[in-house]
Amino acid sequence: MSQVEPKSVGEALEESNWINGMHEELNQFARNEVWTLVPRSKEMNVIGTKWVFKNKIDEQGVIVRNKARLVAKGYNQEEGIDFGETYASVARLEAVRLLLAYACLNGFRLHQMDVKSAFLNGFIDEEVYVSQPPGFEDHNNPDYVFKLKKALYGLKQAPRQWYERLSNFLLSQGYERGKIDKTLFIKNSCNDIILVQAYVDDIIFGSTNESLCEQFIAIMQGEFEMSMMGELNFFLGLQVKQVEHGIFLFQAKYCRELLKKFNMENCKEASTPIATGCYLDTDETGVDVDQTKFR
Amino acid sequence: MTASRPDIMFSVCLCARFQAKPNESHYVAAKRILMYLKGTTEVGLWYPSEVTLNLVGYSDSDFAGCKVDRKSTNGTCHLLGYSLISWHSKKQACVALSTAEAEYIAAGSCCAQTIWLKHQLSDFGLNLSKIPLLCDNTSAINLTKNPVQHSRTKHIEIRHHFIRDHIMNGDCEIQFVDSENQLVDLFTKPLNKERFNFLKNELGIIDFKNVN
Repeated sequence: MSQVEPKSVGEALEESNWINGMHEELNQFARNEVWTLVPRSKEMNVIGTKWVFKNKIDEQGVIVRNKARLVAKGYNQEEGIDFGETYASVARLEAVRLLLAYACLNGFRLHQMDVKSAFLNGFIDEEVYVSQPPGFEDHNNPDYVFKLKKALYGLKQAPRQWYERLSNFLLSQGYERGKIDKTLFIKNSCNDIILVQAYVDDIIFGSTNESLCEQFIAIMQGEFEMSMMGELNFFLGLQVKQVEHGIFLFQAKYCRELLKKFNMENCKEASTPIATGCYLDTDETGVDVDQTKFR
Repeated sequence: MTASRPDIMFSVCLCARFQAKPNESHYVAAKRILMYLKGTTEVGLWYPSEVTLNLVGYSDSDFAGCKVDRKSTNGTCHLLGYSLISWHSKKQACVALSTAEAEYIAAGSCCAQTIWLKHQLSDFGLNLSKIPLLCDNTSAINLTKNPVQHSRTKHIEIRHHFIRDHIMNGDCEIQFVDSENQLVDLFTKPLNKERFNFLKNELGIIDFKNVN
């Protein structure tokens, strides 16, 4: 594994690990039939593409994967031409906690899964053209561009198209959408219920009857490429520990990172986060750095 | 970070108000939060099973708590069984003239959240009504029950009155709680160690060591 994240394609192309990462991404594109190569014409608004390199780390902080992702420079998109509506399906944190508490009270286990390259699953309604990926141009047709069939990361409509795809699929499978929370999907059968909460490409679900969970996994695997399946233990930076008589929710990992960031790993400990009788006001004595307050 | 740490919610919110123009004293306060985190890295929320399903909302306010513009701070929280699922610490948008008014506004925002949770739970197949909403101010409670306007309350904005409507519909029910058992104190004022730890325990904010 490569330990450093390259800052440019040039750097990445010198490292075999990263080249593999990029090939993997392009193979994913081919599998999902993301795009087709077409000749460029004058009236096309061609959106640039860019490689983004990211090291994936596990809970212990060890680098497990060199991931390359090709993104579109969505900021060049023009409304009305390149995209219509934008939308992102995120659940409220309260909704996630409510689901956890509810699962706990009903004694069922929660599972999680992750859709591989979720946005590549969303169909695109508009005609969008992107330039060829830097470093991987077609030698025979260097000035051709790609016409997109599926959404690409970075495109303004990508999250919306993915949500559309997911919800249409689940609705067609007999799931119902939550009345106010549109990212919640429910299915009742007999006296059992399965609850599915989507947070973009992360999905948590649980049921009073384990066989409903298995059914859900099966249909999802039939439709999308899934990864990281298993018991819920890490979601949106929250560490979740499911034990026999309850669920524990904490952020020790993030907390340690935070302390490290501000060089406070070895500081004294305080028993309360704020002193009694501490009332802050806008006193005008000397301005200090803001960075520590940002969270 | 506040996603699993309601214990630092109040202090973080207080500091955040001065993001635009921070100075020495704010820096010290922010550092204090980090020092507290250092000692409590593995603290989180504990959701125990084996309890009855009931939803309770708490609301409280700290009248004119902000020294700068004398606005009050709202604090609300909701427990499902013993599990703390939602909490809130926010400076009110307008200046309240009396404690009752400040509490009334807090109860209103607590009510709004209660309604949302109620709908969400009904999606889960759980229908609740008359959800208790606990408040420690009798005048505010009377305000919600009695639609009579008088000189001290007639100015309260209409949007804050929607709580009355929901109480009449039977969606929630306001109840008195004495200050000792008012769990929301954690989100409205700085507390001493004993009280702070007592409330943390009551809300199920515990250290990983104590799980099991």
